[in-house]
Amino acid sequence: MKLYVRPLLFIVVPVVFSLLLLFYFVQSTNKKPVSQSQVLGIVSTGLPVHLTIPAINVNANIQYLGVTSKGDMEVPNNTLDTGWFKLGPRPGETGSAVIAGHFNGKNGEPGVFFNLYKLKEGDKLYVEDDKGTSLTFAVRESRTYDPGYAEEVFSSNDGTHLNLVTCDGVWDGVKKSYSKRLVVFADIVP
Amino acid sequence: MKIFSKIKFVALLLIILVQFVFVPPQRAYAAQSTVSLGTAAPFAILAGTPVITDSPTSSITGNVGLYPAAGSGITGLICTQVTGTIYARTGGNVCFTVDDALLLAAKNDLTAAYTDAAGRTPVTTINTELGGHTLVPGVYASGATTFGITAGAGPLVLDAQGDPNAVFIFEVAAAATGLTVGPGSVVSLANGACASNIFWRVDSAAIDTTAVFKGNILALNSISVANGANIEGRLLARNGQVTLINDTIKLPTTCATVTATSSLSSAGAPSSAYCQDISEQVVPPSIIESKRVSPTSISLSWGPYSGINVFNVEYGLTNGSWLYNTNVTGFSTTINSLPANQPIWVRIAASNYCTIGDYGQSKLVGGPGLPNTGFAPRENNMWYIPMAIIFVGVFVLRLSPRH
Repeated sequence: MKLYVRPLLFIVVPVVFSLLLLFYFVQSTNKKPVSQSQVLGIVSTGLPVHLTIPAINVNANIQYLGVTSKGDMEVPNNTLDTGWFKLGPRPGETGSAVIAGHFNGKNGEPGVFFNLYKLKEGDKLYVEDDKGTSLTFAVRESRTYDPGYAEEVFSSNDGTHLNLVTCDGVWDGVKKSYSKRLVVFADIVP
Repeated sequence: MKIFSKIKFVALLLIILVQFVFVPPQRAYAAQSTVSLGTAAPFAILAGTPVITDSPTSSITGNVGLYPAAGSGITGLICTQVTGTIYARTGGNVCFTVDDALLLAAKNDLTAAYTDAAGRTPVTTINTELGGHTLVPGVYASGATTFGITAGAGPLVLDAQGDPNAVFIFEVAAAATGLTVGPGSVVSLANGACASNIFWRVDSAAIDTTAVFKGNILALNSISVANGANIEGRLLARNGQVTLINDTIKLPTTCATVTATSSLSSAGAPSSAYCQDISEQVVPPSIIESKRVSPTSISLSWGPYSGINVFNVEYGLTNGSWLYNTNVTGFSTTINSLPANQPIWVRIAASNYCTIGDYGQSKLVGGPGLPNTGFAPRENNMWYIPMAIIFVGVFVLRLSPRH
């Protein structure tokens, strides 16, 4: 009888443990239900301060990001904020403004763009600038890229675009990076 | 009394107003006044200690002076080689003119000019390699403290943009040889640039064989010129020596004093005589394709063709701040030696090497890399652990002896 107790413990303890983990993650992904009214359709080129994406419950501050020593766009210093690439055009200016957000955090918690892949054509994005005016963008398409230089994401000669970037694919423990980048392309709604 | 002060006030107001209205618009760059060389100006060569040497046989137009070293320090150079006067202290060749006071004054004025050049602002930091680049007037320093024109890198073009008073100052912060001009390298002047208004403020400078160099070198220490170089300018060394080998050194001609607004055919800007305006029918080119080739280089192509196939490509680290530009024949180019991994803005205009047309829309080229916004997906790793434990548990259970 005593011999059965130890193997049983081997089963019961991990099962309970994994159930607890599952419960924790299901909880954490269901946070942040927020909605906001916006002033629409005013073209301005102030500095962006706030990004709202009702379709995936994103309601986040915008940090200003430059370039890392490796030549990649910087990332926000926390998982809740997004970050605008300050060396490129501002949202509302001709060209492609780029906003990045974390996919997840150090402890595995979902980042602000965890659900970015759920965006579909026509979903609206709202960027508020420091003058309090808001610009509306509509999603055109989503695409995945390999990490590295992706000029078409940052550059455009015609139109006013907003491109959102986060990680995608599978984690590469050696490179300390996900295998792909997800880019959501959006165009301004006049 | 009160009325009088009112009148004074109104007059003052008017003066201020008039200044605002009638001061001509400034150029885009911060215009520098020239660096005054004072009594050092008539000298093509000035040195401190110990020597001025020449291996036969250089030709010099302008005065030569050595101070405080003795006149015997001037070797290999005799008065017939110099269109001008060789000033020295006693002890040198009998053809030398001994004038300590004049030499001391010239050396003091050189020191003042050196200090003046060193203090000029604003300073634009650019790449170490000057070859293959075109620069507009301004004060330039190198991020890596040295400047060079490497053989084969192409000429350094100094473009005065039609302003004969335009001043170029190069600040070289490195101790020892800070300015290195490679064999056969060329400094060329465009659109009214004048060698007299180009200043190289260095610790020491080395100009290699057959280089064609323009401007005044203001060196703290020494200047060495290898065989067969051709210099329009001055070699002025405060403390060290000047060494020559079969070179041609000529004082720069006086800069034309036409104002920037005069017509391009004015005297003093000879290259302008053939300058034609770019026709309005030339379409400002837009960038068609561009990509990053390596961390330090990008390639791009543009169009359309509308009558001119030479283009001026301007680029810089931020939109609107065009630190560099280069002329390209054709519709594509690769730009190398860029600051590593930085986003580069580019814009292009048609050019006939003399006048530049309207620039097309600027574009961010070749970067940056997409951001790395993720961390290790810990939840996945943690799922593997309990699964593995369950598996091992079942395995152990099955192996356990039943009683």
